[in-house]
Amino acid sequence: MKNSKFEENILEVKDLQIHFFTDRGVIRAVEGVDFSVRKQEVWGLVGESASGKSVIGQALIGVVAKPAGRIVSGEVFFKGEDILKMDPREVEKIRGNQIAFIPQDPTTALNPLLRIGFQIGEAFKYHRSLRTSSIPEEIVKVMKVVNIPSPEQRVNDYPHQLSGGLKQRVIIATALSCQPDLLIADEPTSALDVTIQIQIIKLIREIQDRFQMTMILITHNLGLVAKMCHRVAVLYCGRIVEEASVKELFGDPKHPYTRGLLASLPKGEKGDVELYTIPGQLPNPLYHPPGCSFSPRCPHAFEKCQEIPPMEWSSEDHRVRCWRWKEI
Amino acid sequence: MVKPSVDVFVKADGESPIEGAPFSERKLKFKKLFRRIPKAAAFIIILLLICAIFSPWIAPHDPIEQNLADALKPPFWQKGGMTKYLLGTDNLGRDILSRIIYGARVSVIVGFAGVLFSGIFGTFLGVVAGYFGGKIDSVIMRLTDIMLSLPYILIAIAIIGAIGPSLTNIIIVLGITQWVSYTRIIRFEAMSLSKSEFIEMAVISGTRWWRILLVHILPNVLNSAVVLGTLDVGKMIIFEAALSFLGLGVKPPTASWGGMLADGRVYLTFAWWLATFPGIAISITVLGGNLLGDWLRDELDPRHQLKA
Amino acid sequence: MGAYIIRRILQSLIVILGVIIITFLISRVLGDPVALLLPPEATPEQRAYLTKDLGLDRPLYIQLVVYVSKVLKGDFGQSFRHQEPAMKLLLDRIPASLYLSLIATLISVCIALPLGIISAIKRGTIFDRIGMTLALLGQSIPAFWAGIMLILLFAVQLGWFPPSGYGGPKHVILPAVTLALFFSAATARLTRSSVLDVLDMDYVRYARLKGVPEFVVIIRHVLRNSFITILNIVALQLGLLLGGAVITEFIFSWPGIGRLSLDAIYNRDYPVIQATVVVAASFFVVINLLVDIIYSATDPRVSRK
Repeated sequence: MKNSKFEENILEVKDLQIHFFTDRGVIRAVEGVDFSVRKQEVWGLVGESASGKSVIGQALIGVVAKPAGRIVSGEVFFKGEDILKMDPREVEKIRGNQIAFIPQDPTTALNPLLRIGFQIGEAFKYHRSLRTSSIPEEIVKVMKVVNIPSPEQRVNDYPHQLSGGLKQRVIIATALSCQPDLLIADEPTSALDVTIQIQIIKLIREIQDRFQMTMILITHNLGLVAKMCHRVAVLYCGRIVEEASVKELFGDPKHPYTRGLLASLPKGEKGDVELYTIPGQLPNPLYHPPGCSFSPRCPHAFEKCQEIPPMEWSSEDHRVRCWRWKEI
Repeated sequence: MVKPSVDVFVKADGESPIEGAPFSERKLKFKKLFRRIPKAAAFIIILLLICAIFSPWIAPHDPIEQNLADALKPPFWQKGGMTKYLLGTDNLGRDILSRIIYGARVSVIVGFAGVLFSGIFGTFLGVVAGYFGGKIDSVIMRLTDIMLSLPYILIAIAIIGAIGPSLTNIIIVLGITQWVSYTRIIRFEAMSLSKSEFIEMAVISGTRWWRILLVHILPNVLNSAVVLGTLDVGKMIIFEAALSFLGLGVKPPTASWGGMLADGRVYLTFAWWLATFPGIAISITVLGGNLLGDWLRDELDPRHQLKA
Repeated sequence: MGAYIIRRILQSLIVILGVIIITFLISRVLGDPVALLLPPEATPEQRAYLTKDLGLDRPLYIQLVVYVSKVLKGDFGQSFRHQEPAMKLLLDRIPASLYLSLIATLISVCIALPLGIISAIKRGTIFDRIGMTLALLGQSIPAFWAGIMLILLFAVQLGWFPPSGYGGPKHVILPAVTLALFFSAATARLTRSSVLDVLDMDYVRYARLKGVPEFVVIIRHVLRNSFITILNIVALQLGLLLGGAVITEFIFSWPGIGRLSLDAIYNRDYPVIQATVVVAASFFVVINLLVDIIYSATDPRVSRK
């Protein structure tokens, strides 16, 4: 490992498989995902919609979309213990407490009938044994951390009275309230206006810096990854196809899909009118192609791509899942 | 597939996986659709139609022929019953089974015609309200509110009481009172459709409003209308039975399930079979209609994608 | 919130007015009061006199205005059949109908709500499937037949309850259960689907992600948010009960407004018919209005801007 700062793994995921059983067939949303996240690093998971990234994020603390979703196999070791094998009540104690989650859309994540102060307090109530009288104080404290103006008044507001950016701050405050060891952020800015996005990203960076929090950032936005992450993994159709430090991934991408993604970023140079797009379309979630799921769209595909390529290390901190990474 | 080691987890969400979900990945979508039609419902409906259409060939006896010597015979499995009259006879010696089979005719006609009339009227109003909006919409909505609050049984009885009982009149009354359930839902759909881009384009390119309604909006709301209609068939049949029960339905001696129930009530204490079997017939028929309607609604529901 | 309530009240008034107008039109279309009140041997002069006396010679719209203003004061005129004001006859019978409706509602709510809620929470399990099949069955069985079968079983065969008539618990139970059959089946299914809708909401999933215990999630998030919809469903059914129990009251000889109106229809007693329709409809409208007011007071998105 290069950086001694990131020594221990706080999270280790082994062969995670999540399927959705619908009466039109089985959707293999996550097909054997392995990764580790080191303490105090920001680990990014990049993928298009329907790549399975959100599913993974929630599955890490044992929440799967009902009733069709099911964690078919896999292990998720948090601080050495397999969460998936723990008693549900034990897991409840970890959620929101040691592992916190920031969902994508703050508007739908808040119950419209409950005051926001109360909803922030919910995270506290079940995890920290505080005296009831000190809870309101703590709530205001954590609201200040995320820069919510006049928190003492805002505590009694209802979600619809807040702007999108404020709502997301409330969500972030909730996530921070128990000082979690691991923060999982699922597209934390996609539902917000562009100007607000910048504010929220700044806020998250400050927080990560200040509390040295381990963070998993799930997003489709490569720019965000470049700004915030130390390492990043690329997800396609439920499998990780490449993982490296941000510098290496952007500088020397080895997987054809990653290259395609980077190529389709607008570069903002003069005369840069045409945008590159990866040819083809995402496959139907019900019928993933056999072998490497990217092969139908890959310019370098050949017969062996009908078999699933194994994950190989191209350097100390860089791994790829492709038969031909050495040549291309 | 790897044996799941994480059932404990799934229960943490209060969920459990659906049993019996097909794990196949064959691309025979159409065949799968056919396989998914609820067997019980289809069976019931087909049985009903067969009884209605082929009654003269299926029924063992003439439904109106009276045979006073054989009056009030119990079903064949009871003491005093005969296999000649499988379900027994009524107070005028008419075979119950045959009357039930012929009664299916009335039910089928009322069910379909009633749904047709109320459905056409209701859908029309719904489309108009949804597309035009504004004052027209308000008027139609108030009208539906008024119709909804009127106790429909009373109104129906009052009207039939005045214009006289007959099959046609029943269908007319059904059409007049039952259109509301269509209008609300169709209006909602028509409204969202009207805001869609292809309607805007049609308007901009100068298409006349009646063409837009007919060609663009109507076919798209037809799905919901059909579902509502199927769900309503049962309601119509019960309605007709209720009217016949009160003596305001099909005129005797025509066999109708509701009328048989009215007769049966009088003889309830010593001839239970008169009232029981027609009621079972009604219940099974309505059940079939409801099952079919439910299935159809789930099939056509766009949110159906990930619902197991 | 205030503006919303005022709008709803106005709407309700318009609906009630509409109902009154429609009852007027229908009874005018359906029959000639003069012919009904007088014996067939009446002379033309007597007919003319009565026509003038009843105000039937004036133009239709004036008749309408007179009618509406009288109705708004509660005056529906004299019953043709009994020598009493129609309204009084109605008011005498309302308590019986209310009693029956409330008991039926109570029974339904006790069965349907738990059934619907638990079926939704345990979606897909045996409990859900059986529960909803039963509910479907309950909706398919015609209420009047169910009533007859109940009489057959419990009154005739077993002799536990009287087959008809007005009275206390023993008398009310069979008709109430008959009414409750359809009511609870429909309510159970609707409850289940509205709870399912809430269960699928993001804020429920997020509450779990926060680590809130499942039990609390159900009570605080799921039930609280489905409450108003369920209330709406129950209120809708209750509102329909007053005017919709006609056949049940008939079968069980229950002296409510349903039976009254049935007799009135057989006897062409229009004032009574009109009175029943208007009162039943108004009951329905008022209940819905109340539910809407509760909604606007409890949903913070409406009560605070």
